Amino acid sequence: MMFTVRMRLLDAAVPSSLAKATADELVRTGCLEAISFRQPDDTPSGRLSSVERDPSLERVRDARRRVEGLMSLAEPPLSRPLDSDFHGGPFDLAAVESRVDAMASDIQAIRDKQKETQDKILRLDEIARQLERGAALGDAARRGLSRPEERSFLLIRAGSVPASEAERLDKALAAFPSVLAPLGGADGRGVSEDGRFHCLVAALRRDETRVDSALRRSDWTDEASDARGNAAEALKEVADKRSRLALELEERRRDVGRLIRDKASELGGLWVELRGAELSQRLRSSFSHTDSTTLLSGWLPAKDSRRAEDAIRTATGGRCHIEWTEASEAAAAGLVPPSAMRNPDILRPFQTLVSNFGVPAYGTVDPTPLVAAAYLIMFGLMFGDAGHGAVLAVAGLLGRLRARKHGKPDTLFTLIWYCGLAAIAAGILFGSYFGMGLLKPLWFDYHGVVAGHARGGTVSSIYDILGITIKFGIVVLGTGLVLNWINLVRQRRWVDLFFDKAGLAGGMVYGAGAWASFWFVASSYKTLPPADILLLVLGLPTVLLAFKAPLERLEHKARGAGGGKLTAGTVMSWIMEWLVSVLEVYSGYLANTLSFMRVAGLGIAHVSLMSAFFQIAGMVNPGGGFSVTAILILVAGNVLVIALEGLSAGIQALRLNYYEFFSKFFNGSGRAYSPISFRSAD
Amino acid sequence: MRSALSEYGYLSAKLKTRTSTLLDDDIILKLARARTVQEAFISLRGTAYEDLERVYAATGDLKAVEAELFAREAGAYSELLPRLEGPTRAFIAALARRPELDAVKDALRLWFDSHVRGRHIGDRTGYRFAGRVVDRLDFDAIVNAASPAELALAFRGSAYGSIVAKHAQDTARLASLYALESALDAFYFSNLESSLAGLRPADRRLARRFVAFDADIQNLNSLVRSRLAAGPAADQLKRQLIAFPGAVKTDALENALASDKPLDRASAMFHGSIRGLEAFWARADSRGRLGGLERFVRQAKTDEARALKGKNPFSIGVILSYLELRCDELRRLRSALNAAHYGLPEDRARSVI
Repeated sequence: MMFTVRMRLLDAAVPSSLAKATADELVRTGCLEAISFRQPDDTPSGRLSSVERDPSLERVRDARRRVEGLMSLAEPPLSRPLDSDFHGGPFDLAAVESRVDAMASDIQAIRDKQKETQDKILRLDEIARQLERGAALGDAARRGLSRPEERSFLLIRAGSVPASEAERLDKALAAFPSVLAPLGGADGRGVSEDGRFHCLVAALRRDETRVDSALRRSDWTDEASDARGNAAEALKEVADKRSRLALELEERRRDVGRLIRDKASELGGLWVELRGAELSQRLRSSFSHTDSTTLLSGWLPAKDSRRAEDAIRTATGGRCHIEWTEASEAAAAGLVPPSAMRNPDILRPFQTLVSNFGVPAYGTVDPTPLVAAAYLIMFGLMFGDAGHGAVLAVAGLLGRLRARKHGKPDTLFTLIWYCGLAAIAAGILFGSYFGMGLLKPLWFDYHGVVAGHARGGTVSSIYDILGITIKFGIVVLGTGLVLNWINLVRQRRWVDLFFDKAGLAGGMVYGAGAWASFWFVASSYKTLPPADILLLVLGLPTVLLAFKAPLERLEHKARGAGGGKLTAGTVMSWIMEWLVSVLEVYSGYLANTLSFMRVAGLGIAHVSLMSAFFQIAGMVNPGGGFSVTAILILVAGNVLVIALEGLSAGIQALRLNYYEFFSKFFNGSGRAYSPISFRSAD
Repeated sequence: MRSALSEYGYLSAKLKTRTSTLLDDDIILKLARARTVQEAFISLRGTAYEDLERVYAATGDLKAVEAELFAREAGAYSELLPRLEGPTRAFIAALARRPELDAVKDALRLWFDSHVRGRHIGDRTGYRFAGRVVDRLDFDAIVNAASPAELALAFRGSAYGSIVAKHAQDTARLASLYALESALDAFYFSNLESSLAGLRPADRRLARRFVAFDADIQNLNSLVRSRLAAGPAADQLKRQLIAFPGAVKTDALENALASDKPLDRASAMFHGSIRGLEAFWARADSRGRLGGLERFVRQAKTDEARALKGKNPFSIGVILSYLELRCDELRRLRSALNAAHYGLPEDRARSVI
């Protein structure tokens, strides 16, 4: 957790006939980052060949993506199975493709049914539009509803059938888009005393023949009627029918999800087979081989060595040769080990923040736990309100649950959740709950300090708050320098350790500068520390910085890396380099430290904004108490502060980590460890 | 007149951002590989078009998706208009009449099928465009006009009012939309030509070249169709050729039309103006040439739009480039979805995309 994970280099020789089995087993372990096998210098050229690329790989990848597409159609999407389900072995791609084709066809069949229902809805919509326009009904009324209007594509008939035929007519009309609306009747359902069912039939003219046939079979009699008066009835019928069809459509849409759920196990099996075959092939593409032997090579975490070795021995039945090389030895031979950060799951969002900036060089400090602490403290100081924090925490938690449900990344939401918790903790320390002092603060009353009415305590003015953040900045920067020294010791870069601006010399200048500043402040800005001490603690390291360039030249020469002829120009460049370093140490470190005042700035802004909204709400009700308007102002104010300040605090905390903290020690030149596994990227 | 910097500065930044969201070629390749429409939509996830999947999943209706794509095409033009002023606005508004005319023609065809031919259109009306591009048009009134006079009334107040009023009776009497549609196309180009006059000289040159491409495409389309027609229909096609400055001369095209090998003759006219056409012509067989020529000119226009992306950001080029690339993308997307719908194999699908 403190440093990047220790790596080892694996070299193995296996019989070519067992190369695929070996690759399959290694895919199952999911820990090998394959590299091309390095041909020893004494190997006759042309003895080793690369494994040829399998032409079916593209097809396998396509099929796998299709399966993933199908899995994503379930609600929620099916999660990908575990790698432990992969067993390798023979693999019939054509059979898999035809199974995927069959499933895709099943889904398409459902979509086609949806389309049929949708067509019915569209036709009903058209009928409704026509009815609403009234033109068709008006025309029909003028013609006594006995003849369809010639130019309209809506057919409207009013008439009656024997009540016993009503159901039959309803069924017959249900076969195509149409409306059957009862007209009048003693019971309001269209049945009159003479036992006839009076109704209005509306359909599209394209179905005229079918309408005629249905009406004839039901013993239909045309009748004159006030069509315009019945438009509402017909429209209601259309609306009812439409909502039934909409439900049917929705049900069919869900059929797709149900189908995928039913096939979950089959799809999971297919995915594992396809993904496994794809990864195995990708792994084999890095292998080299002679006539009968296959050679493979790759990096893996030292703790996984045994697992990988067991996998190779299992696949080959012991017919293999395995060699291990420590990363330090391999690095000496010119190979660059990959870097892996291994932190508890709880720190995952902060590991993402680190890797977004860069990958730490192999063997250096993994700053994830420190970033987590620094980020959350900064956020809490800038956004210290328990109520606002609770809102963030709930939002983060809900977002996290939603993301997980839909199989999407939840890192951002987890970070928001943590930030919410940090803000709650800070809010309790400052006694701030939605800008109100509901409970006594455990540390100091932030609102009281900003408003100028804080009494007693260690923090009673804005200067005290600024002082806290500057001290916090010094701790963060000091930690960064210490981490840099640790990295330099581990990398045996002694010249940098002692003479670099971020080494011990630079650190001494920074420490002495901070000490002198506090001395100056403590004396009420009147005196500096004694000059002889100041000369020693500032002057000596400043001079030491000048030795860096000449010593580096000597170091290069000692390593036989040259360094060129010593000229006046070289000496001048050393002097310039030293001057720039001095300038950077003095002005840069001062700027870095003062930069942390933004933490106080944002915290004060947070409090001030809330105070401003309380004052505005107070103006609405000068007599005291709260009105609806005042409450709305406060709610809007809180929402605005949560959104704006939340975003600002998040960004500023990130910025302070990236540009002030990381710049002291972080070497982002590492290469991320990316093993071939079921979890690796596409 | 405003300076080019103040006129195009904001729009240029906005459109360049939008251009960066255009689909990558690998997405188009994935679309071509899709075996079903559903799979095509899966390929669009994570792009600006991912919400189309929701439309399709809810209805299973590809036409509804196509209607949505058309609305986006129209929206690409109409959303620019409020941000423009003066001659540039007038020109882009004239250009925006292309999708508007497509919607108008669609509505006219529905009216024609229903009221002149007596066909039932109830299953087609649900997809018609109902928005606004330049003029406020009541498409519902157009489709449901009870007579040619009512049809003309439905267009009153729009740029097409006089044209429809002039042709509506004949359209019904002759049972042919041909003259009306040709008149609308002619109006489109003459309107564009007159709107070019107010542009800055550099903008005018650029804009004229783009419109000339459109005129060439339209004329080639007529030329290819004339191969299938004979007698009076061929004469009609001759009359439909658009004479636009910068486009290939129509009299030369007419001569080509009369020759034994009209397509070869037509290609000869384009060789000088479109790079790479000669090589394509030598490669393609006669069937490929027939379908390919128009596509080639269209591709040349898209290539020019792509090249404009990196040129002067304070010119009308940035708008023309965006519109062409966006519309080309929408066209390709429609083709890809239809290819998946009809189950075209990958190589055929790629050729139509």
